[in-house]
Amino acid sequence: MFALSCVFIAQHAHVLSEVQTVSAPLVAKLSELERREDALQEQVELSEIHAAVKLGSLGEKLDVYVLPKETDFERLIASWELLSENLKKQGYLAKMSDISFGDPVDMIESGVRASPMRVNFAVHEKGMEYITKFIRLAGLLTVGDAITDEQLGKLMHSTEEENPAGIVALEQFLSLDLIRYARDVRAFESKLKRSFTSNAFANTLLEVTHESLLSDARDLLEGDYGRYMQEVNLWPIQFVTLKSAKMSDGGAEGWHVLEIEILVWERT
Amino acid sequence: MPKTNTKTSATHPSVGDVLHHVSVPFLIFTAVLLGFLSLSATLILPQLTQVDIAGKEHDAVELKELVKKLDTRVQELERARGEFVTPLREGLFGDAMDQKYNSRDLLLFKSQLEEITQQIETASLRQGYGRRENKDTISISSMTFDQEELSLKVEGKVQNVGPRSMTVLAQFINAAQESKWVSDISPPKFTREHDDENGFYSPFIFTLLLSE
Repeated sequence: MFALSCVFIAQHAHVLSEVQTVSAPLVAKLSELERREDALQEQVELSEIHAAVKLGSLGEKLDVYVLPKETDFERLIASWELLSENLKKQGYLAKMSDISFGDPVDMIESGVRASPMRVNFAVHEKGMEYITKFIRLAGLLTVGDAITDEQLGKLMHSTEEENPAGIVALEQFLSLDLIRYARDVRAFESKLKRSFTSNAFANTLLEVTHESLLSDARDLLEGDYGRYMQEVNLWPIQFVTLKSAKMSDGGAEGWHVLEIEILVWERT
Repeated sequence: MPKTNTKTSATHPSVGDVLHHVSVPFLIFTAVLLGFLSLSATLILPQLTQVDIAGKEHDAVELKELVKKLDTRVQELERARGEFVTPLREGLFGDAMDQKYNSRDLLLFKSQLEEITQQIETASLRQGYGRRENKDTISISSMTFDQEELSLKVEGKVQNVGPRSMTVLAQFINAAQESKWVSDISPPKFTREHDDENGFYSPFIFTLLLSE
């Protein structure tokens, strides 16, 4: 009987400690998860409505311009020439060499191959920054493409906290053509911010736009270059990644010879 | 003065006697305790440990399962939302974008190397063998970045520090090697040359293997 009492006492102690260490935190987590589930459910339903139409038009642009079956050389070279002219006009580029292409090579990613493209520049440091930004942005379609998963997560989390229905405005913002955004940043950001009342979302947006490629897009495309690209319909640019780059003395302070080899991606 | 009663200690009860005397109260105490504990286990404990969620009682084990289920559901919804909001992140374009985001930037390496050269130049001045009027102690003439091999070949020379050029070059190599973004280094040949225009100088070529 005494042994049984001891077992009961131990059971009481265990149950009470479990209430304190397990149940109480679980209840707190549960209510947070329930709140998130409700917000997410609402967001999924709202965003689903717009998704089908958007996917169709984005997919088409992707197949035709960004990852085409065959490289449109005229379009690709024109975008580089336009960049070079613009940099020359700003005094950041002295010369761009001929552009040469190598044989396509298969990539690790299935369904794609890439042609190496080589070009040299006699360029100022500032011009090098623009060329680097151009390579980073080549192949991006929308605002959403210019932010990382982590940055996207921050924005999503902020909408959940502030106003779950704001997902529609965020979705429209993320599916914006990158060049349209870069040409009128303030208007599009203000439109998005109007869906949220507090400053918390605005601060998150500011942080994300500064840390992401959106700031590169703004720098490269908000001026004349972006206007020309839009006017002659050269945006979006075919997807490219940097293979190698050599930078050597250019003979004057701040000037360099930049030799780059980039990979121009195509679908197979 | 009273005398000690030696008889009393001789008639102390034995352990058996003590047990015999306390066994009945102990039995009663245990029975009552067991009764109370049984009552508590059936009536009070459930009241303390059950949690009412949406009109249904759950114990700790059920709560754990409920949280796990809800967590999975939230993750599914997050995925679904991601697919609707950024539909192209999955598939071929998503893979291509991953590669773009993972690719490195020559300009970033350039600024990181410049930071190192500035530190070395400052240190050289402090140690008294740099020339204040000419800060160009470590002159990098070219950098070649290879994305596939994740390597950076650096060429240049150490100058304006008199016969200590090889020491400054070694400091530069050490500092580069200690950088977080460098995983390995193929060190240069340490030589010292001299000409009328530059005085003593140490030309260098080395390759940095970059961290993943």
